[in-house]
Amino acid sequence: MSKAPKEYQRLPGRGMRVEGNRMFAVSRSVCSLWLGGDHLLLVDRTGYTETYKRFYFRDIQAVIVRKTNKAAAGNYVMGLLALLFAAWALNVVNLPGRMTLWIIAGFFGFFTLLNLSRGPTCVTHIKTAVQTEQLPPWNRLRTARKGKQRIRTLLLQAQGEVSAEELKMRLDDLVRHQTQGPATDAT
Amino acid sequence: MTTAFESSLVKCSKCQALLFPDLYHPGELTPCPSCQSLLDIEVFPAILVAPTASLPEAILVEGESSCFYHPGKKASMVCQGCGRFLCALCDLELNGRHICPVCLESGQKKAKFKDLENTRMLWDRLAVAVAVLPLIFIWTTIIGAPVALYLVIRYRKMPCSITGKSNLDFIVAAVLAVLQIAAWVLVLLFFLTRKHR
Repeated sequence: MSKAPKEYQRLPGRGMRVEGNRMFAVSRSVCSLWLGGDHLLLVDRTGYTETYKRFYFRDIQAVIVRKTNKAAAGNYVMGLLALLFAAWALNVVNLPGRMTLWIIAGFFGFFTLLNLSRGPTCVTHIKTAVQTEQLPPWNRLRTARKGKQRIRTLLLQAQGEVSAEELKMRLDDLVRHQTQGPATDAT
Repeated sequence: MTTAFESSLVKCSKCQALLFPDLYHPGELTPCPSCQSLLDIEVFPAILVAPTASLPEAILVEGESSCFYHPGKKASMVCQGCGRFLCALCDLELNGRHICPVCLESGQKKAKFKDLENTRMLWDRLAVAVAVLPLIFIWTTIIGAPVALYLVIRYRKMPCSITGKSNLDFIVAAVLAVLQIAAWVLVLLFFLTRKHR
């Protein structure tokens, strides 16, 4: 017997939502993004509860990705620490001490490389008519682009195919009409 | 309050400045004119649709069916949950079904509508945690194991994560709890028989 198809498919990325200060957080939740039949499902898992937010394909107006410098800053700090510990290890004669310092340098080096391989960081928001919500799972440019690519066709199918140029033109017209409309009426 | 003009434009997620369509280049990073943050904005046709609200019509002819909740308004739909007549204001569409606000509320409370469910308790994960964490101190398993077994029995039929996880966590928790209880029974028997000798 064939298995019933899963209702949700996992989209790339996993992120953390932190309420309050990053150091002294009020709550931290692990977020993931899932693709449903007619909506995107954002799952926030805090301990033993899951909170769901649904974004219906027909309602999604825009996806905004903002590049951040978090990855670069992390690379500088961890890379510098790796170099410092490596330099220190080279100046230590004691074998156990040198080994310990090399392990620490290796630890920081490993995480620098891992961070480098994951690419630049970003903050992604999804806009509907009534809200703009952050999508913590799409916190890397590469992941956000991959995710957007997967949902683009579904969004266009749900909202009607309009080419990017045509959409931009119609939006330009709409904006022009809304900015100039009342002025021309008054004159 | 957001105006119709603002709703048809995208805002910078950092400085909240309104961004005009000439900055929407999907796949490219464009600097925000206000804060210089690099943005990749992709808009979809839904942005062109202005938000609309349907208003109920007043009863014009006497004897015309009226809304159950608004007697002065004309009924336009029948609730598929309770059969009451509804006006355009009270008619709520959910997955192609037309229901009234009362049915929606009661359905949400009874978790009848999966699409309205916005939170779930993960009993399976809790059962595993209660079965595993007390193992750190060993003796705490005397309480943890029965509690884990109770959670498994009590909530085994409750739905797990909405994303379709299997019941494997419940099985793991049950096995661990039974093993711990069996170990405690053996320890107890060992001490009791030694005392009698």
